[in-house]
Formats: sequence, structure tokens, C-alpha cells
Amino acid sequence: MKGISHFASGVAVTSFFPWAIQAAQESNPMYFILGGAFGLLPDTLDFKIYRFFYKHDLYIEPDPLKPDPQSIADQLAASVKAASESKKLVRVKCSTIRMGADAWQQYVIKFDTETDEVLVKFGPVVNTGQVPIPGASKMEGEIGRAKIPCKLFQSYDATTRVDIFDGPTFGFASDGKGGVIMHFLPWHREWTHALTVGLFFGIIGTLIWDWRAGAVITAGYSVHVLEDQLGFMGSNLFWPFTRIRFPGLHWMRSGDAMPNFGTVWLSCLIIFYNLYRAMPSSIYHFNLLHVLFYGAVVPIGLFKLALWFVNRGKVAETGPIELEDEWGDKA
Amino acid sequence: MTSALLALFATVVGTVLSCVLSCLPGLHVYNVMGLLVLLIYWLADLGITMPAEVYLPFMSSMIVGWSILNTIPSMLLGAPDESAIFTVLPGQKYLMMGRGYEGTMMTGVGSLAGIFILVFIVGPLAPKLLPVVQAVLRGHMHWVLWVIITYILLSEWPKGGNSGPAGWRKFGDAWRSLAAGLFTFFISGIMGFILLNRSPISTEMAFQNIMPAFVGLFAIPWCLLNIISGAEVPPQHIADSMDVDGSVILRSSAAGGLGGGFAAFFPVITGGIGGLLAGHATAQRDERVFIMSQGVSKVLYYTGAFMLMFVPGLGVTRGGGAWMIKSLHTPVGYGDYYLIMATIAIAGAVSYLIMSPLTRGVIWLIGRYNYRYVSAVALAIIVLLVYLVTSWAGLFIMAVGTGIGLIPVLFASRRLNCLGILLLPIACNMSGFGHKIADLLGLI
Amino acid sequence: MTTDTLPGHEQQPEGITCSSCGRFVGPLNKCPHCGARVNKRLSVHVTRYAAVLLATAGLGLLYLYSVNREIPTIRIGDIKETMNFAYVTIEGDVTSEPRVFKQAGRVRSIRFDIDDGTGEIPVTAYSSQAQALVDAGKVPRLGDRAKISGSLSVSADNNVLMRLQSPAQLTLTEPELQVTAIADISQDITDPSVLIEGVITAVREPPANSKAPWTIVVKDDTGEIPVAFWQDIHAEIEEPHLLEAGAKVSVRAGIGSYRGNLQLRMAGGKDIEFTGRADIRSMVAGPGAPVMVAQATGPAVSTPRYSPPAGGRPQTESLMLDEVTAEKKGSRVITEGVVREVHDPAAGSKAPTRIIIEDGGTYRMVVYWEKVAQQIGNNKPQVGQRIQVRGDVDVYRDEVQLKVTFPDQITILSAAAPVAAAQMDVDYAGGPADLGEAMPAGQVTTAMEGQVVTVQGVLGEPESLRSGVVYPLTDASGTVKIVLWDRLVAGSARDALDTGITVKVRGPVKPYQGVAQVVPENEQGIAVVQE
Repeated sequence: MKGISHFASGVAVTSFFPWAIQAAQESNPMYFILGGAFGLLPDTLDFKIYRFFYKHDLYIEPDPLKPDPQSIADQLAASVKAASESKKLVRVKCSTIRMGADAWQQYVIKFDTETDEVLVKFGPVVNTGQVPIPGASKMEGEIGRAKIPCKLFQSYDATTRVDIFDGPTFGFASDGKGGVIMHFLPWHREWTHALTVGLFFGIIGTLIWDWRAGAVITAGYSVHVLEDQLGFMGSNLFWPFTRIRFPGLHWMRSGDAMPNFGTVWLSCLIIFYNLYRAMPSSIYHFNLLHVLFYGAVVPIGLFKLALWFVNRGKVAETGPIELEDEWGDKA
Repeated sequence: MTSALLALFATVVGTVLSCVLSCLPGLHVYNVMGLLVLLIYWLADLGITMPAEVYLPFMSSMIVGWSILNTIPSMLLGAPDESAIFTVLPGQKYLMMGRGYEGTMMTGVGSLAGIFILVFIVGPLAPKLLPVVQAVLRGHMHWVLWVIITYILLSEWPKGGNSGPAGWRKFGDAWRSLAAGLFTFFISGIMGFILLNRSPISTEMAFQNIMPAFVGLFAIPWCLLNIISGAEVPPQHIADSMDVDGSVILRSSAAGGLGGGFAAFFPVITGGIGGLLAGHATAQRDERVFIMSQGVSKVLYYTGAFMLMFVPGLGVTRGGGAWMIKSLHTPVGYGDYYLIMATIAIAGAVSYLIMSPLTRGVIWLIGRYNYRYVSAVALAIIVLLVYLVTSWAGLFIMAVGTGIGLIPVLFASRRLNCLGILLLPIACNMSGFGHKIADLLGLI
Repeated sequence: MTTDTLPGHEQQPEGITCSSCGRFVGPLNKCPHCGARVNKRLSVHVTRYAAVLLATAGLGLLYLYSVNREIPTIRIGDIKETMNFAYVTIEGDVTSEPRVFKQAGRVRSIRFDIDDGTGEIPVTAYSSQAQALVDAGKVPRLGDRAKISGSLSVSADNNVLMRLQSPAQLTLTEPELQVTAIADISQDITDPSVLIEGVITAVREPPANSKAPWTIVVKDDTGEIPVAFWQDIHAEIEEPHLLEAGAKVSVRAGIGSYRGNLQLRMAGGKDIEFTGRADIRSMVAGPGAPVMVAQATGPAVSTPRYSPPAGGRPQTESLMLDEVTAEKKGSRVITEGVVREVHDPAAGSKAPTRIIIEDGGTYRMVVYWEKVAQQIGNNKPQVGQRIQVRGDVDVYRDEVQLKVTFPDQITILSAAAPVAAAQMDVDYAGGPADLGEAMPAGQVTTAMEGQVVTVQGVLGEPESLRSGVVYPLTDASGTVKIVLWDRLVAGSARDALDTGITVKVRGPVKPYQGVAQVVPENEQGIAVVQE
């Protein structure tokens, strides 16, 4: 999920704690700040700190002057082979190809487990908004292909698109039976996305502030981890007791518009209702169903109806899968 | 009937005046409104009382017109050069592709959608719903503000550190822009504390305390960058059609409406912050949606915030325009509300009709005269305005603001961080410890 | 240099690609691909760091400039609309008993009025600042001299409010009060508060679970008078156990009345000082009885500490209008005349209301300011009415005028006179029965807009408004909000109300934000049923 969804969820969870609302009514915003901040923290740790210190065994850096898909495919296949032979985790970083101030050569990597091949296909040159720049790509459609020397198992998507800002990382690890398991973005959702770490931060918070702050921190952090579990990649829920990521429920993708918006909006409504419940005396009277009906069902229903009306007869466009879209601040 | 005609006349004149204002990059409608308020006071001192039926529609139509037409300079007079390498906005891309006219008109369609939202959705529902929302949230605005500040500071994406081996160097490269952003926020915040507690501006002009700082933080850096920019604007194509459909308009309206509406309702939250939050929340990646939603958001924020002052039973004042009007007029009942709604509808329609010829005119102008000259003229006008209203002290504040405003531009961090000037001191004040910080700074 | 120029980038300047390997480097100074230094155009390179330097240095200078400027001191009469948000200092007298609004035990706001002689504005401190004032014992008292710095809020119709931003920016100076003999205390005294010394002869403690005030009766050798104070003030008294009959006290209090009887009201716990102890048995002789020196303990009884001025307070002199001359400046007089002109101040002006009265061809001007005007309300003297004025003689721009500081100083004498202004400052004109039959509070709805209704119930926690206060009133049927606007209900009447007391309220129903509210049009619309 995007950062704002986790953040809003953290704040929403905080609003369930009576002391947080009472403190807010007494002009103390601390608990809500902690809830939101720790709701976002797992990704903050990954994207703003940990990834810059994550060491890779191989950096694939295509030459912007002579980009070659075959070279990329060969290097990836070699990495799989190295993992299979060495029985160690081999970490590979695929860098983006920057062509200009607002131009990136896009390429797609596909691990085909049926043919045991890795394919690298060059796409268009795109701008930072990932919109193709017409006439800019001389390499579009070129394909590099390399044979993978062993069976590859992957826990995430079969194709990975590389275009703007930072490129993806693959971790190849031997399964001990002659095959290799591919971990997408091995630095992500590793130790940072563990419920145990949320508990740890809660204890730290208790020591710094009080147990109430600790509870808010643990709740905000945990809701992030649990929300991410709804996606594909999953998280390493009980690090350091577990070493690998638990597979996600595959209910949604991190960059999907509706789940993200739905989470943020639902969080807002929950916060609103919890604040209403905490009012000492109110001249207005409503319940949660009223809030959800008038705040979500009616407006979203009308919007969907209008969208259906203007889109009727059109074939739905299926956009490319966003693999690294959890931050939401790239454009 | 006479007052209705008078209001209509004032609306049209105000809208037309906003055309002129809108074409000058960096010139904010609130700067001009400040002058108009002074003029009204001056006339009152002479015994000439201007009726509310004149200045209310006049000023509100200026806000409506400006919020719609100001897209023109922001789209056409902001060619990005290499300094904007990480922050090339979709509108600027359109300009560099020769599609500036189309981009402007798309934003205009968004603005029109924003007016529709205000008149047909917000207008009827606001008196029923917003008082309930306000009653629940009234005591909680302070932490909402803190939470938003937290998100703004935490959510900035590191621009850099994308290549090279892992380690501190890579981390430092990534964090350069983040550090610049944080520095900008806090230094702006300190400036806000100074201006709110010990403003050097004369007390006679205190209602414009923050104006020179805002001009320095936002308008002057833009003009300066336009002037020193190395980029040339390619010839622009006047398109007959736009690359949008109903779906794009709907999605833009939803995203922009949420962002602008949020910013309009919550104190101190600006359109930029609302846009950022809504952009993230709605997860829209289509550049067309981004461009159009800017139009929706701008109208919802500026016009919507102003309109809130007139919503019967709500009793909130949001936005610089409303605060200025508040010293002239106390809204009473549905009469004023309908007057403002009528003004918004008429000024919105007139502004949109003016948009196409005005955009063509500006394109012709920047084709004939280098847009750097246009920016230089605008810069001179802004500086003169600041001097006229706030004198030398204002120019001094403006200069300091400019220094701060250039940091995010040159370090590729968010310009939104400059809003620390309001967010930080007001959030501290709302939570009741602003005076302790001011005391710590030796300001009180 | 790349040869693959992208559309739209044909005219981009050099410097964004590496001159050694030709790859794109953007704003970096060192090529990440080949390590070569990349020369940038000067503008970006220099301005980037110059901006940081300029910003930091400029901010430092701005800071120095600002902190070395005094916060400007202004006069209330000089406040203009353009001064909205101005951070200024005002010096003046506290002219109303500060009201402390609490919610759930926490101080939400404090509000009082300040008058610097050119006008009067309300001052408000919110939340933590208000709590800090209470904690520091810095809640102003009626009559205090205050120096306040804060930000002004000026809205239409010159609705001015000052917000106190820091408790440190409120400096209070207590007025040097002379001790007043109890017999001299009357509604004629214009000072906001008086100092009395005497012995407590009775202490009336409110019943448990009651919100009623404490009352003590203080007696000196000229008479006795009840002194009332709320329970939270009792909690502020440093040695409450000394509060018993026989204790000798020095009390500072404001003058008011309750159900037609003169009463003093103590505004803070520090306003009472225990100076010794007298034998209560010596105090039963009634008003005017001498204190038995031999049986008293402490110096105050044996030798009264106060020295009443000769004749007590300056006596009000009854004069014909033509006898009110500049020589009488500073004295208080009673005179009469026929109203010839009434000049209301222009909207937004801080000028006083001016009434020209005439008697036997002599004209004099009577002036009073907004607060008095609000209290007089619709009972303002009309042209042609004969009025009696009790006021202080002053000279303004060479013109003799009579300054009126309380509404009861103007009495309309002519037969066609409306309700006498003199009646305005009493607490409640009538008893609860005069307000009619009460309807259930829960049945007051917005549909009754404009209807005059009477409700009776218990007041809840008040909420401060910009120009008034809202109390929820609850009875068995529900709750309705009672809005008391400053301009309609005199401060003395509002101050007599508090959470927990039972009142009867009569006024028109006015919807606000979709909720029905009862808005009494004057203090006659409120009656305390049970304290």
C-alpha cells in the first residue's frame, strides 16, 4: 500500500485509544503523531535508510549510450547460476537507464519458469510520469534472452518493469534441492515489516513516554505490517524468529487506486466517528452506519455509477503492474 | 433589482480585472485584494461607503477568476531547465512538447468542473453537512495539522542515491534533498514565529503581515528562475481538441475536489498540501488527471475557502481572502450565501470563456517577447506592490523569504516545505505551546 | 555527449551530460559513470549555496531586527481594521470581572475587558495560556491595571478582540485601594472594586453537591455587608480554615447586588486576607455597634487600619445644569435636563454615545461608552425626555461634559419614559414566576424560530463565544442551548450564573447550525431558581 494509506491507518487506529483523544482534547497531539508516524515507519526505514546500505553482489548498470538487453539477461542468468552453485544468497541490483532530464529507457525483465529463461525487453523511453515520449526510443522492442541453468521459483510477479528513479533488486537463493528461489526487493519488507519490531518500538516508546504511547506505536506499526500482508509480496512477520517473508494474500497490489483510496477514506471516516463518540455532549446524533452510508456508500457509489456511465462500451485499460509503488511521491 | 444588477456588473468587472492579474506570474490575487481593502477604508474615511453588493461580488469574482486563469502563467511561463531535473511537472512537460495551450485548456476544464462541484454539490450540501463536521472536528484541528505536518515531512521521496555502491555516500546523496527540505521547513517555521510575534511590518498594515514573506517564498523564486532559466520555450500548437474524456474529467474532479476541499476546510492547509494528499490518496498516475485535477483543486481551495465564510450556520473563516473580507463585512443568512454562489457561477463561466483567447494572447506575447522579460516585468510589479503596502520592512522580509524559497528549488526538494512559515507556528499555537517556543527564541 | 537528443530537449543547455563519457549526469558535479568532474553553468551552482547562505543570514538579521524592536503600544481608540493580526501592547484598567470558562475540569479560556480611556476591548486567553494564568494566580481582577501584549483580531463592525499569546505578556498592577467604610458602599461608587476591613460575623457554606456560592458577612464599625464568592474561589483561599465567624479580614471585592440587596463579590482567593481574630460575642450589637477593643485580638480591631477620608467617599453634589461648569471637573454631580440631541457613534467607531441635554438654556453633553450603551440597550434616552444624570464632570476639547460609567446613572424622569435605565443594573428584574410557564427544554426546536419561550433547568459547562457565552440548559426532557450575548445581557447578570445552578430563561428561539437556541434579549429574561 502507499505511504498515505498506512499513515492514515495508523492515525485511525490511534483514534480507538480513548487516552489519545482525551490528550488531543487537552491540546496534546503526541499520540496521533506517533500513530501516523509509526504507521509509515516500516516503509520509511526501508525506502529512506535501509536500501542505501543494502549491499549487492552485482550491479547491472546498462550503458545509456549502448543499452543492450542481452547483456542484462546474461548477467541475471549468471546470478541465478551463482546462487545455485554457491548455495548463498546472491543479490542483484538492476539500475535504471537515465537518458535525459526527464527521460528514462524502460525495460522489462521476465523470468519465464516454463521455459527456464530470463527475458529482457526494451520498452519506450518514458518521462518521469512513466508516459512514453513519442519517437524517442530507438531500442523499443529489442529482446535479450538467456537460459536459466536451474529451476527458478518466484514469490512475486513474473515480470518486472524498470524505468524511473531507482531500479529493483533481486535476491536469488538456493532452495537446497538444486533450484533457486527468487526474492523480489529482498531489502524490502524484511526485518522492518515484522510485528515483533512493532512490539520492540512499542517498548522503546513506553520507556521514553508511557505505556499508552507504546500501545499506540505498536498498533500503528502493526497495522502497516498487516495491511501489507494483503498484497503479493508479504512480510517477514516475526523477524528475527523467522527468516523469510510470509507470502501475501494477493488481494490487491500496492499501487492500486481503489484499495489505497478506500483505506484512506475509511480511515478518515473512522477517525471522524471516534472523535464524535468522544464528544462530551453533542447536539448531533448519528451512528457508524450513518457515517459509512453517507460518507462512503453514497458518494463512492455515485462516483462509480458516473464512471460506469462515461466508460460504457469501452474496453478497460489494464496498466502495467507497479512493482515499487509504495511511496507514492515519485511523480 | 438594482442591487442585483449592481452585483452582476461588479462580478463581470471583477472577473475581467482578474484576467489582467492572472497573466502576471507571481502576482497573487490576495496582494491586490489587500490594496482594494485599503482603498475601501480610505473611501470610508472620506465619507464614501461602498455597498457590500459591490465589493463582495467584485472581490469574490476576482478570486474565482484568478483561481481559474492563473493557470495560464503557471503553465506557459515556467519552462523547466536542468535545475528542475527531478521536479518537472506534467504541465511543464506539456509546454516543452508544444502542448501548452492544450494543457492550459485542460486545467481550465478542471476549473470549470470545480465550479460545478461548488455550485451544484457543495452549495446545497454545505449548510447541512459542514456544521456537523465542524462541530465534531472543532477541538481537533490542532492535531490534524500536526499529523499533516508529520506526513509532509516523512513522505518526501529521496531524490538521489539511485546508483553506486551501498554505504554512507549513497545515503548522503539521497538525503541531500531531504535534508534541504527539512531545513527549509524549520527555517520557514522560525521565520513564521518571528513574523507572528514580532513582525517588523507597521501595525497599521498588520493584516498583510505574512504577505511579503509569501511573495518571497513562492513568487520571487519562480520569477527569478524564469529569468535565469536556460531553457527556451518551443513553439506552441493551438489545438482544437483536448486529450480528455469523461473518465479523466471524473477522476480529476474526484482527486482535485478532495484535495482542494480538504485544504479549503482545514485551517492553514493550502491547496498545495491538499493536492499532495489527494494525489497520494487517489493514486492517480495519469498526467492528464494530474493537470486537470490541479484546476479542480485550485478552484475548490481558493473559491471554496472563501465561500465557507458565507455558509449559513458554519461560522468559519478560511483563506486570506475571507480574512480580508471579514474586516469589511459580516455575512448574514442565506441572502449573502446566494449572492456569493451566484457570483461564483457567473465569474466561473466568464473566466472559462475568457481562458482560450487569453491563453492565445499570452502565447502570442511570449512568442513576440521573451518570457524572461515578462517575468522580469512581473517581478518588478510584485516588488513595487510589496513596497507600497509594507514599505522597506516588507522588502526586507521578502528578501529573506526569497533566500528560503530558493532552497527547495535548487536542492530539488518540495517547495511545499516553505509552508512551514504558517504550519509550524500555528500548529504550535493551536496546541498551546507556541508561546513557549517564542519565549525560547527570545521573541516574547 | 549523447547524440540521441530527445524531443523537447533540443535546446537544453550543456552541462547535464558528462563531457568525458557523454552520459547523462543531471545536476551531479561528478559523473557517476566515469568519475569525471562535470562543469556546471555558474548560475545553478552558485545560487544553490548562496540561497542557503542568504536564507540563514537573512533570517538571523530579521530575528535581530525584530527582537530589538519594542512591541508597539497602541491606544484602543486608534485600532483600525487594517490592524487585524497586529501584535501590540495595550495598557488599561480591567473593567469587567474576568470570566473563567472550564470544561471537564480544565480551563478553556479566560476573558475580561480592558479600558485604556480611549475605548474598551475584550481580551481572551485560550487553553494552555488560560490555564497558565490560573496556575500562576495571574487572573486579573476588576480594577487591576493591566499591561497586555497580544494579537488583535479585528473583524467587520470593528469587532475587536485581543488574544493573549503568552501569560508572561500580562503584567498586572493592583490599584492602591483605600479602605472603604461599609456604610459608604453603595451603587454610586464608580470604582470597580472596594477594600473593606472588618470581622466575619457569619459564614454560609453551600450545601454539599450544590453549586451555590459561599457567603460571608463582614461587619465593621459602620455596618455589615454580605460578600459572596464561588466555590472555586473558596478553593483558592490559602487558609480556608480561618474562614469562620470572628475572623478579622481585609477583603477586596466588586460591588453588586442580589435580589435587590447590596452585595460584594470576591473574584479571587487572594482577595481575602486574614488579619486576626475578634470575639464574635462582641459583634452582635448590630450595624454600627463599636467593636469591643478589649476582647479583640490583633491590632486591626483596636486601631482601625483605614482612615476614611473626611466625609467618606466624595459626596455626589446636586446641581442645576448651569452650575455644572469646568471648575467642577473631577467631581460627581447629579443634574437634570431635557434631551435635545442623541448622537450614536458611527459603526465601528470607538467614540462614545453623546447626549445633549438642556435646562434653562444651558446645554451640556452627557457621554457614555459602548459597554454602558449595551447595558442600556433599548432604554436609551430619547429626544424630548427629561433625564436625571449622575456623572463625573470632565472637560473635553474645552467643552464641559458629564461622563457616565454605569447605566443606572441615567434616570429617565419624563412620564413617557421607557423602562428606567436605573433598573438595568440590578440582577434580575423579577422572580422566576414573572417569566411565565416553562416548557420542556427538549421540545424547543428550530421550527419555533422567533417564538418567545421559557425554559427552566440546570446550567451545564459554559462555552465562550467571541461576544458572549453559551450554557447548555438541561431538564428532564432534554437540553437546549442558552446564548447570552454581551450586548444583550449585562456582565453582572452573566457573572451570577454558573454551572449547576437552576435557572429560568425566557427569550426567542433562534436556530444556529440547525440547532434551536434560546437567546434572552436582556437580563430580565433570566432568573435564578436555585443556586
